[in-house]
Amino acid sequence: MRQTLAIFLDAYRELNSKKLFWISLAISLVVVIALALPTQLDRGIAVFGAKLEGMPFALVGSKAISASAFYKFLYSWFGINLWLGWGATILALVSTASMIPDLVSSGSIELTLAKPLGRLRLFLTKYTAGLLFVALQAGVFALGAIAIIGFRSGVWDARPLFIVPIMAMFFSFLHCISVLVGLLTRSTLMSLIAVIIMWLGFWAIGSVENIFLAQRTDAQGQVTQLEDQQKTFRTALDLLQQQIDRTTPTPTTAPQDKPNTDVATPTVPAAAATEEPSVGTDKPNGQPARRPGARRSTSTLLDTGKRMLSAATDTDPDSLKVRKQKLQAQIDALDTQIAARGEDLASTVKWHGRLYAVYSCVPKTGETKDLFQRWVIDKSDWDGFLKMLSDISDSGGRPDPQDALNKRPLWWVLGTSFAFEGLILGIACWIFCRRDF
Amino acid sequence: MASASSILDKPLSGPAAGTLSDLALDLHAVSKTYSGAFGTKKVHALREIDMRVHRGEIFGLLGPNGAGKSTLVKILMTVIRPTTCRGLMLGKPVGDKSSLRRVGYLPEHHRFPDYLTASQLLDYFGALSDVPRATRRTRSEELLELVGLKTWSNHKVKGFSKGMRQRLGIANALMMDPELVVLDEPTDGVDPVGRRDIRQILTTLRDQGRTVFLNSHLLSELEMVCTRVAILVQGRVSAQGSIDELTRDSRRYEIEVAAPVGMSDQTPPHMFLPAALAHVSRLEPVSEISAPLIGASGGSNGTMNASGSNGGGQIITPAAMVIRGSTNAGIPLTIDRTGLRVGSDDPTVVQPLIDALRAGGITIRAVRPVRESLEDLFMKAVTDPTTGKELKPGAANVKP
Repeated sequence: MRQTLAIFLDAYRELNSKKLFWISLAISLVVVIALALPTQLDRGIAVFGAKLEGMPFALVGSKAISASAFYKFLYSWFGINLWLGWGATILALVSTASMIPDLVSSGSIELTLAKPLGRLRLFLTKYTAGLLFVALQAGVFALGAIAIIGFRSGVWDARPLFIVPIMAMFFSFLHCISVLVGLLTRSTLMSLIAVIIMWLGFWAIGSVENIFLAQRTDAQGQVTQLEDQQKTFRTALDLLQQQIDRTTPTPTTAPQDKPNTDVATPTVPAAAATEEPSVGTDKPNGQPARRPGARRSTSTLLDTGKRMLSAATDTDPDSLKVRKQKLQAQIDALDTQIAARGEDLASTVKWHGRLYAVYSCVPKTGETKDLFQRWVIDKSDWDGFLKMLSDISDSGGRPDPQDALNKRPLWWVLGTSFAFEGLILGIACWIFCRRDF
Repeated sequence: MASASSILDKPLSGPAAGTLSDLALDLHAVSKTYSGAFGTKKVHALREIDMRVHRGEIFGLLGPNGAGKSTLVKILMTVIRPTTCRGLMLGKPVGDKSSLRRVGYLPEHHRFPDYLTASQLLDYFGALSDVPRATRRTRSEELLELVGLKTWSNHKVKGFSKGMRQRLGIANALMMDPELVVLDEPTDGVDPVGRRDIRQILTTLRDQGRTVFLNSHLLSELEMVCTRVAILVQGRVSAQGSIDELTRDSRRYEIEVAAPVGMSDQTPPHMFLPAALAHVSRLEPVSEISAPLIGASGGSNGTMNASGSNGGGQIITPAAMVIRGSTNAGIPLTIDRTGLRVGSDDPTVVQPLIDALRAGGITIRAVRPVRESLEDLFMKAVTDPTTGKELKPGAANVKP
């Protein structure tokens, strides 16, 4: 334990001697304070007296989300995603890239290895100590965030401290690469270049996978929606056929001029379906219609009502046959659409599957950072924001790709990332333990 | 520097005192072979090294560059893994990390972390050696005073000169109160006063019963402090033992003489010694010297008759004016430009020769016992006896 503490203390002293550490810490404080400046308005925000209203600022106004959620949102999106997730991480990588090359340099490694301390323990302790930079930065940032959120919203929530383990995990996924390359090449520069290239690679793979996931989710939603429509139409077609059968004159049947009140109720959906051309294929862009419950204008609702009433009272066999033909045409069109969308979906699923397999093998740096939103920002805080966002984006009732991302299990996000880290670190440990210095 | 006794006045305590074995290091068949890519191009850095270092002695490891000295030291300090090794260090197998708790080490060309102060550095490496905090605190102050860096204790190492870093390194090697101190070029970059101080520390350590394993190129310094030495050449131990043992064969007496009355002072000893020693020795007479000698009489065309005989003796050149022979008792004798060398360190052997010289009217300027220096020993070890040329440095690509 004494030796472990000594290595951690030494790591702190090393950081303390680096200007970058203090520069990064100062920027963290500036970011914390800067993010406290905006104030929520009903439909926007105010910064230094300047009112920013309307979209997109209305999304974070007090009508949409609570004050604590607003500041958590700021710290999450700007503080963590932009500053800690990129700026501070780059500074941390620069600061820690020399740690292993310095350790294994000639004249230095002899001093350390000639101590009663196992190589594996020495290496892993040094590695862990390398995470100190980010942990300290994130710790200061989290404390600042807690204070600002508390003062600005009156809600004192300690959960922003989750930033510390989240950022430490996030950074460790990159640090392991830096350590391995530093050990192999004994070069700080090579170590830094390698880790940045790999990081960009992970980011690119993750971004492309997310895009494909969004496409896949959307396509699946569209196909499901079309299939639901088709199912409804087929039911309507059956009902319409029954209505035709009943209204067709036969020698023994009742007088034709009397409407069959017994079947009037079930015929409504069948006839009405033919009077709803917008459902299915008739939208100009070919997109499925708006989901039930979406906003509609009063006049549109009235028109639809009139058409449904007209259809329900239609007892003319010829008219019903025309309606049947139209309904059948719509079902056929839906078949074509489903087939086309199904092909698209199959292609998207295939490519997404491949990307997912690749993505499963690399660290999920972005999704790890997003854990802050999962863990710290309450779902209820987002309801207003999500409702407004949903209305704007008009997803047509299809599943939200973000939901699909958020539903990814924690074990997969962290488990696969740690598996990668474990592999890289295992190789580095093996080399360090066996190498002659 | 402070007096070494001020800090190192405590006798060795712990397992070292009254230990089971007399040997601090007992190495057998230590080999290290480096393989190139795909197992090709093997380099035998060390080959079957056998070495013993007794407790309480200063042991010097010598050898030309690339002989494998640092490789051997690094194997002891677990920095390099040996290919084969059967040996003990302080009673535990070489490579056992726990034994390093009792070993101080100063590597060659060491690089200390620049961001630490002198006292922080001692504290850090002391903690890595598992020295308790309170002990570290007091000991670091004492050691810094010992090596003359007390006033620099709170200065960062990056401002230190090479000599100061070396002093700090020695303090660091002593931080864990070691039984065995391994020093690789400890006087590198240290001024003469500092070197003297370091020698004093080493002898104090030895007097306390600690063992010092010293690796240095400064043969004169090693000769001053080492109890025993080993010479490593091309990955093999060429010679090992105390300096007395290693130079025993080279011990001799040298008798410096002057020409007898009536002869020029410039007359070489070859001209008169054989005649004076004729009754007590068997020296082959010299017939001619193939170059003119200042002050010599007789001869022509650049040659001179040395013995007066006409063709019965040998012809020598000025470059090799050496006459070899022996006493009647078979002790080797050599006559060269300065006088007579007697191949024995027994003073009774010299007495009849002195008597004969005095009887021949020869002036004796000096009679002194002589032995080879460590440098002579070293040069002999690194010289190929067949070619007379210096052996190639390093052990690279030499077949075992």
